[in-house]
Amino acid sequence: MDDLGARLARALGGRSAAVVGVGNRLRGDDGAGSRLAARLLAAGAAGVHDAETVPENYLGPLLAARPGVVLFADAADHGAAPGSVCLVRAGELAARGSSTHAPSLRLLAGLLEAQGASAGCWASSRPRRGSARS
Amino acid sequence: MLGIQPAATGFGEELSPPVAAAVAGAAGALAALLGAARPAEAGRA
Repeated sequence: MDDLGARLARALGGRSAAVVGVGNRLRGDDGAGSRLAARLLAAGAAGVHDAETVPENYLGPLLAARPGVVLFADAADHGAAPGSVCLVRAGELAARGSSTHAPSLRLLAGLLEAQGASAGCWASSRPRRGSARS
Repeated sequence: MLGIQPAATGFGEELSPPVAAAVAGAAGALAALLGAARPAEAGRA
């Protein structure tokens, strides 16, 4: 298992998992989470939601499914090289600065954790209008 | 919880190559953990 696979395995901890892909596919890399979810759905993975820009619309299905952990996937500006992947817990969002999807993901994570699901999430970066990080 | 560092998020742009590779890698890792077929076998989304 590669490094990311090992990190994900530790994060999921053998619990039942739901994956929520977030992002706007019309805005380049902002759609990374949505495209990730689409790939998983095409592969037949269960418990995956391609929420695009409206993750709050999936609160009902997530609460009904009662997964052990909810993994939000999104583009996230964490100051690393393009394509770098980070895994963080929902509680770390507040300390990571502002982002376009952070408020709704923080709210969702709080609601899910209040219902007993471990919700890790991350927020999208603000748009970098056509600029690539060097 | 899983964040991918973007390179460019301009309107109408495609995924940048490094982010596309990261999406493919993360999808493969998650598919293995979730018990799905590898995304490459299921076709490109």
